[in-house]
Amino acid sequence: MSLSFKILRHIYAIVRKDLTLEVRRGYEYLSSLAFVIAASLVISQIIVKLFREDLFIPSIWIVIVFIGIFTTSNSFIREVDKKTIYGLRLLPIPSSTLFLAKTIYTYILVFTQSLLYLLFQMLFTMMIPKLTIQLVVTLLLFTFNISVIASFTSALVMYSEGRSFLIPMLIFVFSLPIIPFATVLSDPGLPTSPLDLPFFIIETFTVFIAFTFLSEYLLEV
Amino acid sequence: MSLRLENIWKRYGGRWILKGIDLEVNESTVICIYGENGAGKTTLLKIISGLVVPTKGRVLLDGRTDRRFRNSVQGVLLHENVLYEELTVEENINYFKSLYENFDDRLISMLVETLGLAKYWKTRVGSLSYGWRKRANIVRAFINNPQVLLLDEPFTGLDINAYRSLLKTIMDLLEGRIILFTISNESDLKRIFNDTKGGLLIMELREGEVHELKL
Repeated sequence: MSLSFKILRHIYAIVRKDLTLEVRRGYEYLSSLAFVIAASLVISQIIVKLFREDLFIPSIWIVIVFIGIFTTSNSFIREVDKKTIYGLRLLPIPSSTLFLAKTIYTYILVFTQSLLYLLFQMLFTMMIPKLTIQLVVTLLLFTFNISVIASFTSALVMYSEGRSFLIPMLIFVFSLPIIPFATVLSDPGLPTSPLDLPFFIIETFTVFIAFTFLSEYLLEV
Repeated sequence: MSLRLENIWKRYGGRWILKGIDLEVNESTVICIYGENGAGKTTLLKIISGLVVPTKGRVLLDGRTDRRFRNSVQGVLLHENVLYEELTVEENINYFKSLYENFDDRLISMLVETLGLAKYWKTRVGSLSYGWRKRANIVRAFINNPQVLLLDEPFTGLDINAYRSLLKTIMDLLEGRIILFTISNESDLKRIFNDTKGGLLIMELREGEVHELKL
C-alpha cells in the first residue's frame, strides 16, 4: 500500500469517527445551529433596520471567526477533556496526519455552519447576494484558513488551564491578517488589486504548511 | 525485542517521583511492578509508553526511541478510558483497527470471547459499567498484537472470572513478548504470584527506586 494512500486512509478513519461523534452528541450540533440562527437574526435586524445591505457579506467573516472560536473546543481539546487523547497519541501514525485529519473535520464543521449562516441571513433579510466566483473562492479559502487556525490553536492550548482566555486571543491574532483580504475580495464596491486573490491563496497555504509542520512538535509532547 | 530503561528520573511539582531507574528486560518476560498509591507506577508506565517525557534518562525499545516504532509494537492499558463513549465497542475496535497495520483478528476475537465481551459488542461504551469498559480497553490494548504490553492495574475492577481469564491470557501470550503490569494491592500481588506459580518477576517501586521483591 502506498504511503499517500495509507495517510488518506488514516485521515478518513479519524474524520469519519469525529463526524459520527458529532452527530451522536446531539447537543453539539444543536448549539451550533442555535448560534448560527441567533447571529443571523441579530445581524439581519441591523442590516434591515439601517438599510445597510453592504454589511451583508462582511458580517459573514466576523461570524466565521466566532464559529472558529467555538469549533476549537471540538478538536484536540475535546480529546483531552474526554481523556481519549492518550488513544490518539498511542497511534503509530505521524502527528501531522492527526493534525490534517482534525483540520479537515474542523473545515467540514466551519464550512457547513457558514453556509447555514448565509442561508438564514438570506431568509431573514430577504436579500440574495450576488454570487461571484471570487466570493465563492474567498469563502472557501477563508473557512479553510480559519479551520487550520482553529485546529492549531486547539493543539496549542489543549493542556492549558487558561484556554478559555487563550482561544479567542489566539484566533483573533491569527485571523487578523486574513480579514482585510476577505473583506476587499468579497465586496465589489471596494477597490481591489489583481494581486489580492493570489496573495490570499499564498497566505492561506503558507499558514497551512507552517502549522502542519509545527504540529509535529506540538503533538509529540 | 528488548526494553531498556536508562537512568529514568521524573520530577513533578518539586518532588522527585522516580530516581534513576535502570531496567533491562528481554522477551518472554512478565514483570509486575508493585507499589503503594503515589509510588510512581503509573508515571513509570507512561514514561515507558512515551506518553510522559522523563526529566532525565531515556527508554529504548530494541535500541530505538522513535514514537512511531514504539507505538506500532506496544499495547497500553491505562487507568483512563481511551475509548469513545458515543461509539459502540465494535465501532471503537474497528476504528482503532483501521489505524494499525499489524492487527490480529484472531487475537481480538479470542479476547472478546475470553473476557465475555461479545454480549456488549454492539453497546455504546458510555453505557457500560466500569468493569466492562475496562475489558473493552483491554481488547483495545491488544489490537496491534503487541510485542510489548504495558498494563496499568489491569485487574482492578474485574470480577474473579474476568481476573482469571485475563491472567491466563497474559501468561498464554507471554512467548516472545514483554509484559509489564502494575499493582498496588499486596493481597492481589500474592494471589497473582500464587496463580502464576511464581512465573513472574516482581519489582517494588519504593521512594522512586525499583527494588526486586521476593515473596
